Amino acid sequence: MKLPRLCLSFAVAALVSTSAAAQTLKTGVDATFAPHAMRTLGGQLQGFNIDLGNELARRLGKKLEIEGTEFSGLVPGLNAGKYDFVLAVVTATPERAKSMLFTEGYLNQDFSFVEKKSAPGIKSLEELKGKTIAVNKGSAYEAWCRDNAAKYGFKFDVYGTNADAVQAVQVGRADASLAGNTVAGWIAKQNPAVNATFTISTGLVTALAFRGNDKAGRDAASMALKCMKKDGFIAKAAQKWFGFTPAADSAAVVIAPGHGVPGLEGYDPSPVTLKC
Amino acid sequence: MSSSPILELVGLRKAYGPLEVLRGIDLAVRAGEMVCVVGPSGSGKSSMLRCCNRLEEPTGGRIVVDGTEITGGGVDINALRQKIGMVFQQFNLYPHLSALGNVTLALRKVRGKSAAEADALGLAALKRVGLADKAKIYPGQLSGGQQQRVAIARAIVLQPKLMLFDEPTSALDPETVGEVLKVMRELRESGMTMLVVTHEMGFAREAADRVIFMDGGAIVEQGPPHEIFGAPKHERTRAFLTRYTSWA
Amino acid sequence: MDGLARLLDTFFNTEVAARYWPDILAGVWITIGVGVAVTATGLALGFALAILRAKQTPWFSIPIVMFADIMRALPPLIIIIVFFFAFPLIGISMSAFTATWLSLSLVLAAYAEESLWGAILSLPRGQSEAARSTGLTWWQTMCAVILPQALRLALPPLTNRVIAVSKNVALGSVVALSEVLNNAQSATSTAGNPTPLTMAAAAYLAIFIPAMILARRMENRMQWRV
Repeated sequence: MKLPRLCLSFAVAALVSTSAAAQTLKTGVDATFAPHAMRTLGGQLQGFNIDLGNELARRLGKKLEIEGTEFSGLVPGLNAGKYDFVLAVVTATPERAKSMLFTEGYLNQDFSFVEKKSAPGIKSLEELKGKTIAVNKGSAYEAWCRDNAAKYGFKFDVYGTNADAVQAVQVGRADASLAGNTVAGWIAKQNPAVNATFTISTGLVTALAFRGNDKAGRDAASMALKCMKKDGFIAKAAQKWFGFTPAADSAAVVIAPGHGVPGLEGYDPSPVTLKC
Repeated sequence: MSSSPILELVGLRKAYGPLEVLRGIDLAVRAGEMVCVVGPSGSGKSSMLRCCNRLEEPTGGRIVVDGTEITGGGVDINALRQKIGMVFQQFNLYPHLSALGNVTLALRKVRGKSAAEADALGLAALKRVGLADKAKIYPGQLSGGQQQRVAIARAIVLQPKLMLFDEPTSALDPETVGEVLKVMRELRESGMTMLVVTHEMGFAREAADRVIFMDGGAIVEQGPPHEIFGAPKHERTRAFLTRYTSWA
Repeated sequence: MDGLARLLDTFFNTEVAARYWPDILAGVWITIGVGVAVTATGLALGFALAILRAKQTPWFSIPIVMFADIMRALPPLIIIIVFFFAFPLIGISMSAFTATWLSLSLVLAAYAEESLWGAILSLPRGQSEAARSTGLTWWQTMCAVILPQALRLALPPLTNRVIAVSKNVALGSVVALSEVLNNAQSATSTAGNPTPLTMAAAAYLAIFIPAMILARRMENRMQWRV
């Protein structure tokens, strides 16, 4: 249960202030979120975000410790000082930006529906009326459902992991599940029983999340990210894990000015000279 | 007084697997008779008594109570048990009910009497055993002798034809034995048919119409008290009585 | 005192609390609803099974003992997951509420059955012998003599079990039941702030501390009157 762990972390955080010059960066991912983070048969972590995190740490001259856990445990963990940043796929939203500091985006976030192969397939958002959507708890997709359920007339159920949400579709407890397009594509490829159907463009980006008062950490990671984009690392990783090369104007390629996501709280517009 | 017996045991047998506890008991108890059963432990006295209302099931033989064969098939044992009252060595009062509650439970559940009717009959029974003033008291607050007297009231309130007593005073302090024996004597005087398993030789000698000596699952000898206690015919009877009457 | 201010802002953020208290409250009703339903059906089923077992026919006793052992050995989470995710494959589909309620009821019933059965066994045989010898039927003896005594013995230890099983309603979050913890976790991630978890903790205290006081009072009352 999250609660006892949270209380323990709370106590630790209260006693131990910011651990400054640590040689290890600690972070967390949802390890059931293929192809961004998943386990090999031997139990090791692999995926797009794993590669991203490892390269980031290398450039910062630090070791990286990645913990696989439930997505909804990541934000409390970050706040409690258990993690230095969140490596999992976190969509930068205005609401989250109030409490967390984001680097610039490294992927565009489009949402896709995953449905049973035997289903007719959703062709527009209006068709959602009366349907049940399964989503990963605490994700940006859940937030989208929350904001749009009344407008399009659908119900939504929140599951602890994305895998459970897809399972719910397979056993018929939900008509479709909603996830990022990268994830949906991977699921459809691996699972012959489901298809990725309608895609919603949100205009949002995925970014790394830091504690609200950790500007130094955010800025350092932000610099490393920019360098990785300049070297084409992110584009190559996207090709490897998603099977497509990101467009020249996508977040995976474009180096944004300043630190953070333009337009969101915590954005620092002061110009940055690249130091790679 | 009718001449057909209230209780008849014909060839009663009881075995637990290979262990035979009753080896063919023949016994007849006439109306108004008090029969005391004595004998060493393990002689089968209690088993025989408990077969009479089928608390234990006989493995052979017949039992007839007030003209009805209770060991036959298709017998309504609950109806028959209302005719047979039983008093236990451990009293077995219901601790969650008052004395009056204990006495009236069967009247209300089985005879369907209203609370008022049942209470009236219950109080009368308690009066007979001298405990009318303890009607609202709970068993936990009564002495052993008082509890046993309430148990007797519980049995007699249903106006049974036959009363079975399974060592009624064996669990009592010597001071309270007397009050229970007094109630039993009064019951006998009022004409109740009683079958009593007991170790109280003095009581058996002066109150019983007939004394039965049992040993090893069979009746060894029976007869009026002065015969059994004064001039027992069998060696085993004599041996048993010597042990008991040496400090009587 | 920057540390304290940060603590309050992180875990006791009034702005986040104001935004999400309706979600937490909605979760509270679900948690209470499932908890009460589980307590009612779990105790009723468990006691019924114990009474059936008292009949001492192997047709009943053997399946009942198997049920009690299996339901107490399995982690409740597994039972919930099987009902929700596996049963649809044999054609039985049920909502998160039903799956959670059913699973936890069966678990509580197993404990209730064992508790009442143990209490019935602990009563002296003489109690039922005395009742039956006054002509009461088996069922009348059970209702008027055995159960009043056995329930008084069985209930006090069961109150702890009822509270433990009710807290397990949080397991329903795995099958998307919108109870307190689930809603709090969602809110925490959406807001990027763990204040909703603090609110959930407060909600649990508000629900279960009164339950515990009630349970203790019932225990005292029953012991006193033996």
